[in-house]
Amino acid sequence: MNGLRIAWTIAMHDVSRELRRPVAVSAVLLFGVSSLVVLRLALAGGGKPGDAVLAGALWVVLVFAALLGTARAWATEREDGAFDALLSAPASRSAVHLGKVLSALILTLALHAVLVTMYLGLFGAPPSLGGVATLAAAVALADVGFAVVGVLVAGLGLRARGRDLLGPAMFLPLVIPLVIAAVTCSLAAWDTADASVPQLLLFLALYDLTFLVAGLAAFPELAVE
Amino acid sequence: MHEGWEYVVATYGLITLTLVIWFWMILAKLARHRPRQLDD
Amino acid sequence: MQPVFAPRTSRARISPRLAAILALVLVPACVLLTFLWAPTATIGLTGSGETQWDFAQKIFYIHVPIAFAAYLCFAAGAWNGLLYLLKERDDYDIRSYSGVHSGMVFGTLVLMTGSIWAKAAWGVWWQWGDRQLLVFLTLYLFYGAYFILRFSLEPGRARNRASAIYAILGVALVPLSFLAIRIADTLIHPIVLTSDGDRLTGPMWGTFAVGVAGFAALAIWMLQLETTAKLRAMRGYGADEEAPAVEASHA
Repeated sequence: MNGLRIAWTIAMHDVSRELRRPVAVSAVLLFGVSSLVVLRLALAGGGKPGDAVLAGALWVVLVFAALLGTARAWATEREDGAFDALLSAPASRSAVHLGKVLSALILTLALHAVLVTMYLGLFGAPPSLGGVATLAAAVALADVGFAVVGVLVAGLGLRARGRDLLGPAMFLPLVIPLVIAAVTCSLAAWDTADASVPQLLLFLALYDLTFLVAGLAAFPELAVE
Repeated sequence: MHEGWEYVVATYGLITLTLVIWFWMILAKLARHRPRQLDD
Repeated sequence: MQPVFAPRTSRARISPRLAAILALVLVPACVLLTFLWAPTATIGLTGSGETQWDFAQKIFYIHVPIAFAAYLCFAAGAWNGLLYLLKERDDYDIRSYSGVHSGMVFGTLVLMTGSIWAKAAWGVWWQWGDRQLLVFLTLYLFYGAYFILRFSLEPGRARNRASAIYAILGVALVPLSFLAIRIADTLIHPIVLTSDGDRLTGPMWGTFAVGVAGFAALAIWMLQLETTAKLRAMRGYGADEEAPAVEASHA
């Protein structure tokens, strides 16, 4: 229980800092909103694009927003030189990792909530209420995966030189399975795919769990005394 | 000659070429970093 | 020939000499059997009753064994990464790196030969409906980033640990990719491509088996050669004697 409390404290610390001075959130939000506007204009020619194109466009924006948001997971600790202090703190390192995952998840969920709402306004909502629920569930479960993978690869690249391209290079291949399932789920939300939604959501949960466990196990191994 | 032989030749040629270059590079690297005295 | 056939740093369970001999015998044997023994596959009959030959299927006997070899190398990379985390010995780090490196060389061949085969069989250079190819592409992109990670970190334990963890993550990625593609694929569009398994006859299976064994042996041999070369370079043997040798810490 103690570990969970530490994780929660770390997460709340990050979230309250973002609330006071939204450095990461404002930048990523601006990126996401501009991307949607660019997409709306880029897809404006030639009538209404197909649902498959639109679902793909949505997930491209969500993936990149999540990538940019989670890449900053350890940014403040690195800039303050507090990372090694955090690792040598009496708290268990897995708890530290869990805390970072939680704050990344809260951040990503908040950003994606805004972006998905805006997307629905720009491109149209799913035809049924069930479809909206399916989309919401897919985004929520995918966000857990984005947070878990994003914090993990941000931790791996923490001591790296030239981090700018390292993050995407590691993050994007890892989330390919997640994106495949999430896009299929979105297509089902628009009734364009005869997909089994529970099966897809179950897969997303399985993915989240796998990389959550992998991250919790791997993060303590990153520390070098 | 069967139809599509060019693809088969291209495949086997590509593999042979890659393996030869790879071997050559490793052997060169082994030779460059040869230990001074061979132990045991 | 001694260092090539028996890298002295190796404590491999499989004798390097055996792997080398098996590779040098079985890989050429596979090529010979492919063209001399395995019958040319058929697609079916044309309207006028003539047999349609599928000569491009000859690519299968070398493409699939190389894919297995690539998976074997990546598995060796992940396994030695795990051993590094457990034992903290530099040679496990080098072995893990060699595994990923060799896997990428075989992997490049897999993607290129797969692409040629797709062109010959289906008329397109890339078939997005091919599940195995998609799983492989995902893993290939994933391990491609290993080099970026490794070379943006300073040599030392922190780099070794991060690389080892990254190499191990690939083990989780393969089943997850396969599952995702399977779930999404069967539901969106049913499989139209038939697998090769159902139209292989005895000599075809025999040739394929020789290929798999040969390329597995080749993979093991290449892994050991790469490991030896990288270990020697790390320990600073050879020409540039002034170069600072990285101390190998044996726990």
